Amino acid sequence: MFAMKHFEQQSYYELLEVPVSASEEQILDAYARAMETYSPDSIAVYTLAEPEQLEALRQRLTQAMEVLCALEQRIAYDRELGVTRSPEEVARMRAESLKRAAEATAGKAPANGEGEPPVEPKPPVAQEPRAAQPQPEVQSWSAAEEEPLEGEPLEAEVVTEEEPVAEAKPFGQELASGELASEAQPEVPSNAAAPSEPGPGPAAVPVPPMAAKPAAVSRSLTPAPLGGLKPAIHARPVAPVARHGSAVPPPLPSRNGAIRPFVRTEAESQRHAEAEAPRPVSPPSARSLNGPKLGEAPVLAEASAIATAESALAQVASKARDSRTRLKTVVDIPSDAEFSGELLRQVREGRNLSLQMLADRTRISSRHVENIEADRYDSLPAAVYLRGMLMSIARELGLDPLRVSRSYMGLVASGEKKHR
Amino acid sequence: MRTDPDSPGVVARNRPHRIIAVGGGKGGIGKSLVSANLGVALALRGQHVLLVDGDLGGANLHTCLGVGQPTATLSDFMLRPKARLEDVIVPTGVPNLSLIAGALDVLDAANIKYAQKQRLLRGLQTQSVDYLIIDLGAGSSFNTLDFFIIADHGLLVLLPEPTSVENAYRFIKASFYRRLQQVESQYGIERLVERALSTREGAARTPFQIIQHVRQQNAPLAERLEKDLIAFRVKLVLNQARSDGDMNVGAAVVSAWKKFFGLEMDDLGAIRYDDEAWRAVRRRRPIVLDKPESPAAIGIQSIADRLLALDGVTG
Repeated sequence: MFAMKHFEQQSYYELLEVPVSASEEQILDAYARAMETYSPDSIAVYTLAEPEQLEALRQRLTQAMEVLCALEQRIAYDRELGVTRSPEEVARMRAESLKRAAEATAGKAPANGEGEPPVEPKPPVAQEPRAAQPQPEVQSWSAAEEEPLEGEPLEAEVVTEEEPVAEAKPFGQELASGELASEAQPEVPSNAAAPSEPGPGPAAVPVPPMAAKPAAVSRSLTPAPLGGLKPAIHARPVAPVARHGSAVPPPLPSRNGAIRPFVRTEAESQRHAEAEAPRPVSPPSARSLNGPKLGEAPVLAEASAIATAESALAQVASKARDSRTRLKTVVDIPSDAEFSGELLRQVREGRNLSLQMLADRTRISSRHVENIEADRYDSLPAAVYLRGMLMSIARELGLDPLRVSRSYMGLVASGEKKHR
Repeated sequence: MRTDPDSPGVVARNRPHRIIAVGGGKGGIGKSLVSANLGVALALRGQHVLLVDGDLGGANLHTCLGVGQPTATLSDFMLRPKARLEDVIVPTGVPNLSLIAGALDVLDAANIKYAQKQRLLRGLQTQSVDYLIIDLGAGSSFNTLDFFIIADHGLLVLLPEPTSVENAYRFIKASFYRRLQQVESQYGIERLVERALSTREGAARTPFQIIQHVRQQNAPLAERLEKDLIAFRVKLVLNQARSDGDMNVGAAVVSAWKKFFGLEMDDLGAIRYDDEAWRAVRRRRPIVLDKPESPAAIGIQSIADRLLALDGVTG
C-alpha cells in the first residue's frame, strides 16, 4: 500500500488523481481542477503548504498533464511505470487522441459533451451524439482496465451514429475504419500518424462541410436568424439589462463561482433558466410569508433585526442568481467558433472586464493577456504555460477551458506552420 | 428509505455500534447544528441515537434540539462519583433520539481532571445505542482531542473560509499527533512526537517523515506504524457552502491533505448555506424536522445516508 507518499514520489496518475486508464479528456479535466486547488490563493491549502511547495507541485502537475496528453510520451512513461496495456487499449487511446486532435483543429464543439459552452442553447442535432456518449465514457472509466475491448466498439459506434445526421466528417470515418481494421497491431494510417501530437497535423484536414452545418441548423431554430455561415459573436449587453432591471451589467461571479459552470448539462441549464425566471419576485413574497411567523418574537427590536438580516440575505441570493445567469446571457458564441485571441477579447469586453482586471483575476501578466488577445503567436510563452493560461482565462470568462485551449493551441500550431 | 433494523429493546448491546465525534477547531461553524441534525436524521432512519454535548465550556446542544433546560446534565454525572451515565440521559421528543446535555453550571468543566475524563470516556463507550454522537467544543485542547480520537467517525466541520480552514488543519494535525502519542512507546518515537506537539518545526512534520524516521531503525515496525496511521481518516463536512465553487472545497481539501500531509480523508458532502437553517435555529427546531425540503436539510440527510452506507447499514 502506498498511501503515504509525498507528492514528489507520486506517479503522474496519482498526482492528477486519475486512473491509469483515464482518457485524455479526463486528464485535462483533472489538471484544470488541480490547478484550481493548488493555485496560490486556494483556500484548501491555506496554512497547509508553503508557497514554494505549491509552486513545485504545480510544475509537477503540468509536467504530468503534458506527458500523459502526448500519446507517445504517455506510452513510454507507462512502460517506465510498468503499466501494461493490451494492444486494443492502445488502439483505443490512439483513436481517442486522433479524434481529439481533429476536434481541436476543426474548432467544432466536440460530440462527446465536454465542449458545451454554457453560453447558448445548442441545436438539438448536436445533442444526439452528446447523449449517446456519456455512458461509454463512464464505462471505460471503470472497466477499461479489464475490458479494453469494450471501449473500442463504442468509440466506433459513436462515429457511425453521427453519419445519419449527414454531418460530413471525412476524417472521422477514415479514422473509425482505419482503427477498427488494425485491431491487433495498431498501425496508424500514414496521414493520421502526425496528429497524435494534438495540433499541427490535422490542420490539413478539410473543415468546410462541418462549418456549414451548425449555422444552417441554428438558422432554422433560432428566432432571430443569424446571417452568414459563422455568425461571429454578438455581444448582448441588452439582455442582462432587461433581465436584471439595472443599467449595469451583472457583477462577475466570485472566482469560485465560475469554477466549473460548463459541467452543467443542457437540460439542467434550461431548468435553471425556468427556475430563475420567476425568482426576482420571490424574495419579497417569501419574506411576507415568513413575516407573521417571525412576528411572534415578543421583542420588536428582534423582529427588525431579523428583517435587516433577511434583506441582506436576499441580496446575497440575488447576487448568486446573477452570477449564474450571467454566463448564459452576456455573449452568444456559435458552437463551431474558433477561439482566437480576437474572440476572447470580444467575450471579455462583453463581460465588461478590462484587460487589467482579467490579468489580475487570472494572475497572468497583462502583457501575456494582451499578446494572447492580439494573436501574437510569436510572443507567447511556451505551450505548457500557454495552455494553463488559456484555461484560466476561459474559466474566468465562463467558457469551456478545454475547448478554448484546444482551439487556440490549434490556431497557434497552424500559425506556426505558415511561418515555416 | 427509513429502516427499522431491529425492534427496540430486543437487542442488548454493551457498546455503541459507532461513535461519531463532531469537531472543527473553530467556534461558530455549526458543529452543534450538524450534530443535532445528523442525530435527528439518523434517528429518523430507525437508528437509536444518543447525542452527547461534549462542548464542556459552552453547551447548547439542547437548544438546537428545542429541548428546554434539561433536568439532568453531564455535570451531574461528573460531580457525583456514584452516578451512572444512564441517569443523565434525557428524551428529546424525537423517537429514537436521546440526549446527554452539556454541563451548564460548572464554570470550569472544560478543565476536567484526567480521572473524570477517563470515567466519562468509558461511560460513553459502553452505551448500547446504534450511534453515539459527541458534539465537541471549539479549540484543540487535549480534552477535546481525546473525544475526537476515540470516535469511529471523526467528523471535521469546515466553512469555506481561511480562518476555519486554518483551525481545521490545526485541529486534525493535533488530533493526529495526540493519537500518535498513544502508540508512540511501541515504536520508539516519543521524542519525535513530543517535538511535533511542542515546536513549530516539529508540527510541520508529516506522517510520512515520521514513518521514514522509524524505518531507518526498524523496517517491519515502520510498516506496522504506517498501517496504524493510515487508519486515521477524518471525514469532512463542508458547512455553509454559498456557491458552486464552495461545494468543491471539500474535494479540494481532501486532495491537498493527501498531497501535503500524506493521509486520506473522506469528503462526506456539503451543506448549503441556507436561510432556512438560520430561521430554524431561531425557532429552536432542528431543520431536518422543521424544513426537510430545504437545501441545508437535504445536505444533512445525504450525509447521514453516506455514513450509513459506509457502515454497511442498508437503507
